[in-house]
Amino acid sequence: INKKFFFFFLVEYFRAQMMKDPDMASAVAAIRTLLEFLKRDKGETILGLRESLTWATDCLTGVDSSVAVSSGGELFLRFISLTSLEHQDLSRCKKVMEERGELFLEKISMSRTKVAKLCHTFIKDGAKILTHSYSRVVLRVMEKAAAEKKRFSVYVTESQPDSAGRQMAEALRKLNVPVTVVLDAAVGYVLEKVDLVIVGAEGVVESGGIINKIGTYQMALCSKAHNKPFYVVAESFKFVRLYPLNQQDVPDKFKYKADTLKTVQNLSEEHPMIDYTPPSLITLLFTDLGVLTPSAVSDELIKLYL
Amino acid sequence: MADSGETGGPVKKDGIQQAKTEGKELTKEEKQRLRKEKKQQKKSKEKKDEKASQESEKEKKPVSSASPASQPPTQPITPKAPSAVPTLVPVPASETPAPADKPAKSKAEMKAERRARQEAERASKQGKKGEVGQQAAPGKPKAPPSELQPVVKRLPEHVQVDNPEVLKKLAKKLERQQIPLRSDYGYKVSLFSHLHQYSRKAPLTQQLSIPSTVIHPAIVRLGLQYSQGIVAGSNARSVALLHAFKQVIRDYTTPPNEELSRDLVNKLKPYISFLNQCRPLSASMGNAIKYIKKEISNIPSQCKEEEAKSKLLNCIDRYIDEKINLAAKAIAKSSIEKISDGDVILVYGCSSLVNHILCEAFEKNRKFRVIVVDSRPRLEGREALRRLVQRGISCTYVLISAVSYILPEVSKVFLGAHALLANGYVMSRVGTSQIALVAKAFNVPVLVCCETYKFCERVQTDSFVSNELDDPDDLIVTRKGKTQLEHWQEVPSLGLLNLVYDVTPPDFVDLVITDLGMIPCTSVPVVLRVKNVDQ
Repeated sequence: INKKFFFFFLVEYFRAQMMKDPDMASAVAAIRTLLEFLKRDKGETILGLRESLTWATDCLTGVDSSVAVSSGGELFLRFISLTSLEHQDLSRCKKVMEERGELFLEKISMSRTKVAKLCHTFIKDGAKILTHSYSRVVLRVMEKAAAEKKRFSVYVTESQPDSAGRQMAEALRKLNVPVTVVLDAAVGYVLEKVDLVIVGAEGVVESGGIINKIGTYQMALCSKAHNKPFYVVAESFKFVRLYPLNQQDVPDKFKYKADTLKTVQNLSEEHPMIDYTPPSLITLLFTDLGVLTPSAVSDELIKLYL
Repeated sequence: MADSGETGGPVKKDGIQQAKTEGKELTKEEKQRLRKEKKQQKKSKEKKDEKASQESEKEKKPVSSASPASQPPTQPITPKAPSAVPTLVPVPASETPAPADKPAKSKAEMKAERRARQEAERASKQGKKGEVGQQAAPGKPKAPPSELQPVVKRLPEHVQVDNPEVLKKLAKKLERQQIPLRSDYGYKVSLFSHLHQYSRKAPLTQQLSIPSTVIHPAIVRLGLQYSQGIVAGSNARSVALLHAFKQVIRDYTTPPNEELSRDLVNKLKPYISFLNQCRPLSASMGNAIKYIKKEISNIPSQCKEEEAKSKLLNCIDRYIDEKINLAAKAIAKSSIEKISDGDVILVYGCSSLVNHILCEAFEKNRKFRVIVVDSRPRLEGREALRRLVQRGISCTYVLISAVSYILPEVSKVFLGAHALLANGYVMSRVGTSQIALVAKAFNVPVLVCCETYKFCERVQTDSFVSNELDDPDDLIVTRKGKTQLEHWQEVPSLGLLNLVYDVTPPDFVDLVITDLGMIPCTSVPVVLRVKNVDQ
């Protein structure tokens, strides 16, 4: 009975958080939800607490199956339990964990600003940028660049099946940045006019590659062929302990939306929503931990997780 | 540079004469110092003469072999040349703060000047040709403060076989330890003339007296097993080594007035030299030996002998358990996630770890089939084939020449490793880099499985610098009653090359599975750093 109640609570709170601030990353909403869950949890042991947090993360992944939610949840768990919890009293331990949780949340809400600060210097005056689909981090970077009085123009891919690219184009028009929407199939055509490519990421994997909206891999391959730099902007809570060897190796639970996974029997009929871009195609990654090369991502992951 | 040398010479001579004229005032210490300096002078002169004779020898060799021979030795040496040059600049600067407590200031000055001249000559010699045997030289300077001497890395002996000085030093060392020196066999291909090449028909044990009082019989047996190829494969060799050391420790008694922690380490040194002579040590064996030596020297002096011995035996057991057995289990667990149903897996040669992984995956009911690639002269793939077929795994067997033919069918390549180098290169059985290259061309993912105790601090970018040459007679094969290469030694322009290892760049390797998890090939130095911090 307890579990059912908590399940509904989690889902409702998560949805409420997402609706309250559409600009917030889904991982941040998930972590807020987990923090609330922690405050209300009536567990008796630390191990029990950890288990219930893992269960809660799984529930949330069932609602929104993006990579970032699961990675954010795991990192949250690591961050709060990495301290020496020597206090005898469980309630005091919990208090410490809650404080660390708040600290973690504060840190990651600043991460987008840090990333924007690092990346906007790479946008030179008069640059033509190509980007893919709707990414709030990329939007933030361009906002910062526009605020620095840089003149640049943007090509956005339409990004079917949900036409998220048009949303991005709208947001950019509001910033008075000249923007053109191109077909997904026109990436090779437009690349010769473009100076650099910037995309966001849903997850950054151990090899230094990224998981992002379908169509990113194609864009990366074309930019490698044209020798254009391919930049990725991602916050550090998106680093995940996956190591896909190829497209087939990405787990199904990330490829399709959560409702699709539950309702549809034969997944081979469905279109995957994400693809994997290997690290050999990526020039640099901008994260709140700094500007990293793909091989340095593993270094950071080892530091974060081990 | 030569100028300062010449001005140093006459000044120094005056200095000595001056000291001689003041002769009656010289104290005993000063006399000793003088003697030492004269000895050093003599040594440097001898070295110069030897180097000169070496140059003339090298020039006399046929031209074609000379140029490729000097190429590889220059490459490892040119990085050292710039390190020698900075030593030249600070040393003349140190001439001015002469030690104030010496009564004869001229002597210290003269010493410093002479040193400067020696380094100048050394640096100019290095700059001219790229000599190989530099280790003896850095041994001399004492007084200049240590921060002026950058770390000069010495080349290990086993890659300097064409340098007679180094061979002399090795012979002296082995004589001291009473171990026979193994002589090289047959004509060596010029690109690899800096490596040892031994014959299997002349094992080192034939030159030992029986019973050998210097070397423990378990070690003698182990050496024979190594040199005849009875124990092969890096895990097998390390485990055999550790078991032999356990026997040695069990039979060891501390002599009176000696400490176990120091004496046992000294006892192990001749054994290690002996094993090295039988077959060059592998990286995993090197790490195991380092660990044992550390454990031994950490034994507190007040520990009783029985207690110390049982502690050491426990340490060794734990090392084998943790680093080899449990690591294999952890690696198998991670690899099973990467093996999906319907996979076609390619393996090369016989790696105990890869075989273990495939058997474990088969136990867990994964449906896959294996293609075993094999190569002459060792034909190790047959052993792997035997082990896999025994478990019931469906296998195909090809030789390495057919690898580009079958690769379109393959979905993954699993390779074992002999060692993982600090710059991310994978050192493994010869032929591995070829398979990785072809797999990359076909876009097939390459996975390397390696335990962390095989990670080594060395850096290598090619397979020439440090390798092992096996018995060239292994390449001789009799087909239809005819042995074509039987008299290869009589043909002066013919050389047989039987390489054992090669080095694969990290761009060809997609994933390394270790007991710490799955890491990209470029993260090996991170793991080494983390390990060193732990220890």
